[in-house]
Amino acid sequence: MSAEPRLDALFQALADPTRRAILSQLARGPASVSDLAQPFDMALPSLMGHLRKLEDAGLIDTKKDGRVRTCAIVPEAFAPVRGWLDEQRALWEGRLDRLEEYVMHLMKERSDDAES
Amino acid sequence: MMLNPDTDLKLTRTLNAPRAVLWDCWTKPEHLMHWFVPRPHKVVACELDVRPGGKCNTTFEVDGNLMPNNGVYLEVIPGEKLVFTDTYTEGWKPSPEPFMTAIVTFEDAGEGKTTYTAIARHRNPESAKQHADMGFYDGWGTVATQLEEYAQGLAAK
Repeated sequence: MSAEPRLDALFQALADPTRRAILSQLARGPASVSDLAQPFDMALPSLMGHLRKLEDAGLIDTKKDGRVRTCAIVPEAFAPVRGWLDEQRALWEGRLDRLEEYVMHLMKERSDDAES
Repeated sequence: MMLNPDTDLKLTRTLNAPRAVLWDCWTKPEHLMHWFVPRPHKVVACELDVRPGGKCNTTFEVDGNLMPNNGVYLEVIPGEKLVFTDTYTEGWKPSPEPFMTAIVTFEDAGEGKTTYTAIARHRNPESAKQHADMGFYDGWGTVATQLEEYAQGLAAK
């Protein structure tokens, strides 16, 4: 898979506060689905839906042992998001690109208005 | 200003627009809302009280989730310099999880151009890492930016 769709799935998975809370908990160590369900006031099927999205994004692994399903974080999955300062830089660069584009558009609009 | 390469970043670019227009883009909600976050995400609320201590509040909508980003201006020199932080919110109320101070300056570069500089200073890397949610969100923002650039590249072809 090329980088964009993979990152897209990854960050869609991360865009939800419940899924981030699940990851925060798993960052402390593997946990069973029932352990994970405890802090959330949520029906089990909803929780399973979140877990599936995290698993599809490659952020967690789940293993079934008898009747217990255990979830664990996949540390390598976070490689694309490593380097928080790099992320900030990209955020500001993206913002600057958009500002430049917007201001050029604005200038053109104003000069069109002045001419008409 | 001494910047710490582990926590601070600085961007400079010469933009083909006068300072006054760039100032408007940064200080008027009707302009800022158009470029502050990458599409398809939106700035759904924006309140800018552009004076020291005045609120600098934006709310982003990201996949249906509302993300408020509240702060205050620390320094305002019209047309020249804007400093804001999320360390305080309106009324100098301290924030529970402060993260950054931004310093944006605009200098004449001749021929109607402006040298634009943005400096973002963050808390130390350890405290930043503790804020996993924040990191995740910003990482997500980065990718949205990358995707938008990619899409623009495609559209330009």
